[in-house]
Amino acid sequence: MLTRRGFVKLVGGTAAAASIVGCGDNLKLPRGLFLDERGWETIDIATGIVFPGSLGARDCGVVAYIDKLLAAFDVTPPAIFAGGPYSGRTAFPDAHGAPTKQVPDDAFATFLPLPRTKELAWRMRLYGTAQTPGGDFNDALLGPTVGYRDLYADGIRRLDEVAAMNNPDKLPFRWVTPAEQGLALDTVASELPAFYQALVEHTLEGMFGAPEYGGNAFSYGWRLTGYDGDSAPLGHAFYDETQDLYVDRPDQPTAQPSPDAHTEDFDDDVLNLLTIAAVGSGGKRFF
Amino acid sequence: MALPSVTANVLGEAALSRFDAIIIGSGAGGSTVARTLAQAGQKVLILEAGDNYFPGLDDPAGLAPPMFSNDEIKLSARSLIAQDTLIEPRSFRPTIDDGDRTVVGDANGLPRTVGGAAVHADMKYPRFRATDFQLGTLLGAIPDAAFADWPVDYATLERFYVEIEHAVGVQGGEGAQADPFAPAKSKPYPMPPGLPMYANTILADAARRLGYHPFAYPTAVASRPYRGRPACIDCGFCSGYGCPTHAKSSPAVTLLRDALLTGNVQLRFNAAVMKLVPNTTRTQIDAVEYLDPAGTLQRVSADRYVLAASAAESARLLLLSDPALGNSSGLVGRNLMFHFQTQVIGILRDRVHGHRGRSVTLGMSDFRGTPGDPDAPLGGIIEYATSSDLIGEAKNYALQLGKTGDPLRKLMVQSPLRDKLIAMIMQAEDAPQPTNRIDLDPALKDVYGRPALRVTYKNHPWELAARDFYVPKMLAIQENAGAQFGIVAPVDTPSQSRHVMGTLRMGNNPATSVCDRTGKLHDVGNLWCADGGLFPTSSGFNPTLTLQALALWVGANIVSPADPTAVLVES
Repeated sequence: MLTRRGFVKLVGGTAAAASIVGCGDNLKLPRGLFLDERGWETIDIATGIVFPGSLGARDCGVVAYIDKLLAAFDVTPPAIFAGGPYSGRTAFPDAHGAPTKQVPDDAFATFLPLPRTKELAWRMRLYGTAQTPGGDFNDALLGPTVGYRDLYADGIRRLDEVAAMNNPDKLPFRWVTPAEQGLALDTVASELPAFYQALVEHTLEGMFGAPEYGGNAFSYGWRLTGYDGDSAPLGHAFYDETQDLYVDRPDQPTAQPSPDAHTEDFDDDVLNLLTIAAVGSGGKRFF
Repeated sequence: MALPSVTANVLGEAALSRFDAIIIGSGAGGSTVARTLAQAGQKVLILEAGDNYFPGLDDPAGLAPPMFSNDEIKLSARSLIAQDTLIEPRSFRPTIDDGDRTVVGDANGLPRTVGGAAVHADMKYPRFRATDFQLGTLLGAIPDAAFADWPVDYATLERFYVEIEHAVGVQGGEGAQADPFAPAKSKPYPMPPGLPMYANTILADAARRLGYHPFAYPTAVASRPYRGRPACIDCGFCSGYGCPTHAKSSPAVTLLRDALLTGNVQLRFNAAVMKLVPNTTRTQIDAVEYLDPAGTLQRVSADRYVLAASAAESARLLLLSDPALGNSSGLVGRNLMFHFQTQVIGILRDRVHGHRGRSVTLGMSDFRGTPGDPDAPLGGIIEYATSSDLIGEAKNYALQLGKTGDPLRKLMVQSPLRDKLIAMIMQAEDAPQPTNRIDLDPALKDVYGRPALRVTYKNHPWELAARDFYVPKMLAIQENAGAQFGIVAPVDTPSQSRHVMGTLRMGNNPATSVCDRTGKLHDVGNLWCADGGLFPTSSGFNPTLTLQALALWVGANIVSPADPTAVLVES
């Protein structure tokens, strides 16, 4: 099947360019395994409100991460836990710690089978405790836990309802202005807090987790934050047996400042936030 | 890719069917006892509730790659090896006056996997000090606390420490790189320290300027090729992660593998023990019942049984018998202790890449204190710590600080709480209190229909006072290190500590302890404990090395009661 990320690769553009696809119904691509066209666009836009901007949630293709999670049991083994140990994003080191041309296979791309109780737990998480045979054993005490699939379905429906209420043409969420989308998400966040929490958590996982889970396209989330990503098997230091010496990786050292390191001042609003956090905790601002 | 061990659910000698001993749990304690018994020729069955992510762990030709990886979603966001809070929820309340429970979900849960909780640990391996075994005597009576002397002392355990340090492979400093307050060792560490993390050296330099004594933190991670395992590459996914290269000297790839290679051990995983079956007088265990991977109840017997399921779960197994087993003292589950963690965070203007390295590489024990000295209350070892998880950082801003949209983006780009963070964590002594305990929740259940484990826990004023004493000193180090801000993490309720101790405390008096000085339950003739449940006090140092030294002592007393040191080969 042609996935969204597959489409991006085919057209040779960036994930940002691919978001043009979300603007109209002219391209009838199969969108996701769980999310339909409307759901895909709605969640794509909502993730962009949670984490906006260039290399943000929409560029990272976070909606594909969310869809892959919601449809985890549509594939075998379920797409819950990626394999290991290596992704192939770094190479094996040579005898002195420098990268070789030998790159491991992407074992992250093959997901792990689940033992019986782990499978039950993840079915409860995705489908709900009451909907999962054998999963309702604490429902009488705690009330049922709503599954992520229902949370998202309800959230998408409610985002459209709230958006339509606030414009004369009754347009759905994905077709109203960004300002109206922001207001609608605020409303739904307070009405459906479990949906909103899932949306936020999954947006951040999909931005900053390994790309094999469906998000973090082209490792944009790591590029935005200057994060190394998974580093094994190259790592950040190496014991060189030929010299009986530990050597630091020159471009990404552990024991030294990074070669491009420089002092950076925080913006004023970050300084204000940290001041409140420090003083409120019983700590101090030292300048 | 074939995943044979995941489907076969057995490691070791599959043909064994009669056992001298059954060990419940394959973690730090269970692995150690299994190796000791198996090397003495006993046939051992290990039952492990969790799954196996070390395919071929029993392959004599060498260690195959594990399924662990530098993957924050797998190990952290989706908790591959953690006890699942939907399947096995726990409950928590501060005191019995707080109703049946105030929290449902996680309460100090530990990983369920072949190799146990140490799989996810960053394996800090300091020894306890000699005085830590004598705090009942040295501190005297403290209201509502139950400090007690250990029934074994440091001098007795010293060679057992050596044995573990060498059998698993610990790196540590000697001379100027060592903790000047550490107790005497009869043999140097088998490996020198690896590279220190940059973030740690900033704090160590500041501490040194203020007259403290930083040292290379003893750590069970290979810094040289060691017994078939490679030196660490400082990939950065250490605390909270299984090791992708086997450099981490975790129990699975060290003592458990040693045990499996004897040919005397069979390990069944995805095999959750449901209960112990006692004889009619409840003085012997006749069998254990466990669920096999398909969910069918199985019963298996041996001459003796060893609880090594963690302080919390071992106590729970005794309490699941009605009436509770081994509980003539009334102390099963009581005196639950964690390390009381005080965290002081510094925020720099420079990036310190805490996501590279072994999570903690340097520390100091100046704040451990001296028993009875009012000017040096008992705190604990200080870990110079970092923040490494990117998703974790983002969730902090979004869920704890409520920032989304442009403010969230700005925080992630400027990264005050990860890339510019230097932290100190004090692993402080937690006073044993009989009212802090594990028991069974009256209504919450696990997936097997058993009562869930409940934690009742509240800090004692004794350790809160020590925290108040040391926090200003920790802030002063942060200021000297050039931090712009010093943030004191609040006292966490429920405690987030994964150092779980007490519950089956050992002692010479059956009226005031559950297990004797060899780890055998006073009340049950063929049942031992070999995990953190034995600890009478928590000390102020990471517990796993002492836990393993003690488990070795327990095993040695089983196979060689006249001279337990006869099993030692490293000293």
